[in-house]
Amino acid sequence: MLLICAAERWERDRMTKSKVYLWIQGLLCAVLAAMLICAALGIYREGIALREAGDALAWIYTKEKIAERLAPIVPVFCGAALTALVGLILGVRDQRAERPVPDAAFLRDALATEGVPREKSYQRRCLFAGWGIFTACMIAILVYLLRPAHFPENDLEGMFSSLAGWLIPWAALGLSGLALFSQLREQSIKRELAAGKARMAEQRETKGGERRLLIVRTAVLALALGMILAGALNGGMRDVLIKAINLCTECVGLG
Amino acid sequence: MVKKPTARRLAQLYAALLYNANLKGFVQGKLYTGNVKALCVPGLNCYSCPGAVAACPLGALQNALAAAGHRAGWYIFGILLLFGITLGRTICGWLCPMGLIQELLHRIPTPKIRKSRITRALSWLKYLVLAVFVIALPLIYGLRHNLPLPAFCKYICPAGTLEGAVALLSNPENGGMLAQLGLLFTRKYVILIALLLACVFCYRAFCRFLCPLGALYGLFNRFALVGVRVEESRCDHCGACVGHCPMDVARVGDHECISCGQCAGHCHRDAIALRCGRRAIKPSRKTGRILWGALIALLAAAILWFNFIDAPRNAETDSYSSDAPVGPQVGQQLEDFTCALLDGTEFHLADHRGQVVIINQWATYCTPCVGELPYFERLQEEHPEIVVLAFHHWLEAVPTAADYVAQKGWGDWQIRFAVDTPDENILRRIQGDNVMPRTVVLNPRGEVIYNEQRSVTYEMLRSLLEQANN
Repeated sequence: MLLICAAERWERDRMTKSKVYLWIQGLLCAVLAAMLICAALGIYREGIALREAGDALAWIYTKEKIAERLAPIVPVFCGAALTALVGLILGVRDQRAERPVPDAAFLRDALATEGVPREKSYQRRCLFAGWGIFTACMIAILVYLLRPAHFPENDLEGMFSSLAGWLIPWAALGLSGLALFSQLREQSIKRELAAGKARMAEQRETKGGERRLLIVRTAVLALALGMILAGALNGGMRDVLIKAINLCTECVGLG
Repeated sequence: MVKKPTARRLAQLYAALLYNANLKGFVQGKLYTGNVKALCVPGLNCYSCPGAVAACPLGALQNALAAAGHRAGWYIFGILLLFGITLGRTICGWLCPMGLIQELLHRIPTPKIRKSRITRALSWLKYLVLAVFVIALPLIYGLRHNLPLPAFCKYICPAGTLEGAVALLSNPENGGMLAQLGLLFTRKYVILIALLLACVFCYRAFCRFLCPLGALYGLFNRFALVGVRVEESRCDHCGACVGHCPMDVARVGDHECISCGQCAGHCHRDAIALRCGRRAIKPSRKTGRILWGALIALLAAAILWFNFIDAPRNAETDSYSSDAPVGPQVGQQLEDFTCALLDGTEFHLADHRGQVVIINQWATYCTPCVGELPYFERLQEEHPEIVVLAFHHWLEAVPTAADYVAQKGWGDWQIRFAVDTPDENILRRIQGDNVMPRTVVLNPRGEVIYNEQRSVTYEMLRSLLEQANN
C-alpha cells in the first residue's frame, strides 16, 4: 500500500515538475524572441533619428550597433538552448498536446445519424452564417483590390500600410465569424451524435471515381508538360534563371 | 529520450541539403549563378539563399505574374501544375526546408497549442495571402504600372528573410549590405521572429496559416498521384486519424493534409498508408537501403558539381583586382570605359572628366531599381551639368531593356540608358555583381566618392552631389 502511494506521489510530482519545466522553457523562448525584436526596433529607431537629424547617408544598422544590442541576448539564448537540450534528452513533452482532438463532424459524417431535424437545420444555419460572414469580408477586400487609386506607382510603403490597415480587420472579422459559427455547429453536431441513433455510413469510394481520377491526373499532367515546353520556348524559363541568379535586395527584405 | 529520426525527417534533411548544395556560397556570401537555377525546387526555398542551386517556385510565380503584360509565364504555371498533380502537399510534409525548420522548432519542449476551431478557421488565411500577395499585387503593379512587385517575397516571406537576407548578412564579405537595411528589413525581421516563436508553441504555424505555396498545392491534394490515403474497405471510421493529426484536416488526404503519415501509426485497422496511385509505398529493407544509397550518391555528386566543377558565371568579376590608383573603391579613380547607349550613341567615361558622374546599375525586374530611377532623372533635370548613366546588366537584355524604357515612357528622359557588354565592361570596373541596385558617384576628377549596393532616395542623391562637388 505504502509503495503504491509512493509511486503515485512520484508520478504526480514528475508531472508537476514537467509542467513547471515546460512553462519555464516557453517563457524563455518568448523572452528571447521579445529581446530579439526589441533589439531590432531599438537599432532602427536610433538609426532613423540620425537620418531625421539631417544625415541622409547614415547607416541604420552597423556592425557595432548590432554587436552592442546582441550582447545581452547571448546569455538568454544559451540558457534557452541548454534547457531545451536537457528537456529533449530527458524526453519532457506536453502530453496534453498528444491527446487526440476528436472531430465531431468527421464522426457524424462517418456514422450517419437518424432524426434530430432541429439540430440539422441549426447546423445548416451556422454553416451559412459562418461562410456568409467570411465571404462578405472577402468581398470587402476584393472591392479594395479593384480600386486602382489604392495602388499608386511611387508610394509602395503607403500602399502597403493602407492595404494592411484594410486587410487585417476584414480578415480578422471573417475568420472570427467562421471560427465562431464552426464552434456553434460542432456543439450542435455533438448534441446530434448524443441524441441520434448512429449507423455506419455507406462507403463513398467507387470504381467510377477511380477512373475519373485517373483521367484528371493524366490530363493535368499532359497540360503541365505542355506548359513547361511552351515556357521553355517562349523564354519564360530564361526569365526564371535571370531572376534567380541576380539578387534583388528589396525582394528578400534587405531594403 | 531523443527519438531516432524517421524516414520523413531524413527526407526533409536531404531535400534541404540538395536544394542548398552550393555550400561554398555560404562561405563566400555569393549566390550560385549556374544555368541549373532555371529549374524550380518543389519546396519553399529562397533563391537568394547563398546555397540555393535552383529557383523558388513562389518567387518565380510572382515574377511571372508581374511580367504577364510582356510574356505569359507558361513555364512556372506548368512547373506548379506538375508538382501539384504528382505530389500535392506531400511536398510540404517531406520536401520543404521551411517545414523542417518549423518542425524542429516545435520539438522544443514547451506547452503546446492544440488544434481547434480557431486554428481551423485561421488555416483559410493562407488562401487570402495567396490571392492578395502572390496573385493580385504582382498582377496589379505589373499590368498597371509595369513595376515588378513580388509582394509576398517583399513583405512577408520568412524563408526569404532567414535564408536570403540573414544568411547573406551573416557573412562578413557582405558587410556593405548593412547600408541598405531600414524599415523593410526591420519589419520582415519582426515577422520572422514572431513566426519562429509561433512555431515553437504551435505545430507548423507558418505552413498552416500563412504559406501560399501550401495553399496552392492543397488545391491539388485530392487529385495528386502521391499522398496518404485511407483504404475505405478497412476503415471503421473511428476518427483516430483525424483526432491525432496535428494539422487542421477534416479528412485524411484533404487540402490540409501534408501526408506526414502520423495517422497511419494511430490506425488500429492498418487502413492508412502513403500511396502512389493505388499502390502503398512500403519499400522492403533491401530496396530502402538501395534507394537511400542512390540518393546519397546523388547528393554527393550534386555537392561536388556545384562546389567544385560548375564554374560561376561571375568568376571573372570575382578575380578582378585593381591597380593602386585605379579601382572601384572610395578614393580610387574609376577605370575608363566605353559603352553603347540605348539611343544608339556611345558613352565614353573619359569624355566627362570635370563633371560629376553618377552610375546606376538597374534591372527591369528589380523593384527598387525601377522605383529609384525617377530620383536620378529629377536630379539630372535640376543639375544638367552632371552626367547620370543607368546601365542594365548584360543577359541578352538589350531588347528587353529598350522595350521596357519605351513602354515606361522614359525614352525622352535626360539620363542616359545603356546595356553592359557581354564581358561586363562596366560591371567589372565598378566591382559590381548580381546584387542590385548599386550606385557609384564620381567627383569631377573621376574619383569614386560612393559605391554601394542599396536603394537611394532623392535626398541621398542631393547629399552625394554636394559631397562630389566639394
